[in-house]
Amino acid sequence: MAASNATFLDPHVSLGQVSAYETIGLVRKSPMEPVVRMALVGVHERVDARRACQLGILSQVVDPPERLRQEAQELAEKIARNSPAAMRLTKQALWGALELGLSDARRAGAPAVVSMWGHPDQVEGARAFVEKRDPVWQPLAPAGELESSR
Amino acid sequence: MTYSELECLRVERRGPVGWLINNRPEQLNAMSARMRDEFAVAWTELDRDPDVRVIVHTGEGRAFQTGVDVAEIAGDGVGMERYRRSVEEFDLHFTSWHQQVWKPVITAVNGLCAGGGFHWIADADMVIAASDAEFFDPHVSIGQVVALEAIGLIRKMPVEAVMRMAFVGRHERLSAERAYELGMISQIVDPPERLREEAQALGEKVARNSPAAMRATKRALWGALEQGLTDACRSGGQELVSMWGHPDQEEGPRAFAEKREPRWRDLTEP
Repeated sequence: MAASNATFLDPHVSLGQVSAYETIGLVRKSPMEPVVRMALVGVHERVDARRACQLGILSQVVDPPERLRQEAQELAEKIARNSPAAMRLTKQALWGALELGLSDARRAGAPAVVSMWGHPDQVEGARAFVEKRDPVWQPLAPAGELESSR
Repeated sequence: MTYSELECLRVERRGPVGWLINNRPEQLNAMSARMRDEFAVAWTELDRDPDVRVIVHTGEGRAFQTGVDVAEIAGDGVGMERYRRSVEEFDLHFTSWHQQVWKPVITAVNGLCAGGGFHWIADADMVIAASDAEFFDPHVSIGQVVALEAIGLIRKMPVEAVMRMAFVGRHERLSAERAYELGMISQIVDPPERLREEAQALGEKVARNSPAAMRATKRALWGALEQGLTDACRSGGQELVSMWGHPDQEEGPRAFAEKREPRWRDLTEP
């Protein structure tokens, strides 16, 4: 998310530097052409928050800009209402999808789906829904106990 | 540098910007066998010209490009068979990507872009379009498979829009406005007559940046479509480091501090 007055530019090539890691990530996550344009135009053009949102580089424009932290806190609190364990596995599966072809990424993601089965959050989630209350989730197990997709 | 005399294409230079202009306006710039061969020559010559820092590709007349010349295919008794070997062996030479042009390439879409015309949308680094430009892919409406262009587009933009064009064929057109929303293009030029002027202006902005840094950046970004994210970043890191010690890396910050235009090394200099 970005404040409505946020602007984006990639000056690397205007200073004789290569644009690589950041834009490689963006190329995999959003339409490529506008990213390549930013990388090759350098300091001579900027992308505004509205266009970045339209392109899906970000998902929310906050106006007025002063409300940015408040909106960020609100978004984070929405997310914090979800199962930490399920979100961790979801995050691993989705970032893992950028590492592989489609069939391989799904094959790699399938165990993540199954690995939550039998987790207390799966019982609690359904029960809280029926009882119309917020779920009480389990704290996250140490990360080392989970398989990394990398 | 003087360019080869071509029949179906015009090649010229305006300042640092090399122009490749599809020049079969009566055939809506459809690609004849001859035009196909001429593309290989044109890209190579523009890539080799040390005075060209950026290449703009556009079309003469009311179409940018409309794929293969169907009239030639239908009329000469040879048909698509003449292209069998080159496609089966994937030995193609009509886009900048095929020809491994590492200078920045801008496609400026004037009017209609249909079918094989998407090759030069998919394979360009930047795409701008006149406000009256329209896009559609008639392959399946004439019994042809769409593959190479759409495969490129699917890796570069939202997939659903590409699939829809592939399957709706000639029965629907995509507007420049929608192409802009989807991130297929980054600029709409209105009025349409200003397209070449705006393409030249964009080209001149790009030409102000370090040619060597842009070449490495272009390699890193197209390389990102070849590998998983981690491997792509690893390869990109190689490109990044390849510029360290290059004179442009000192010249860039110095020019910035001195508030002047940088004097970049030509790509042809060692």
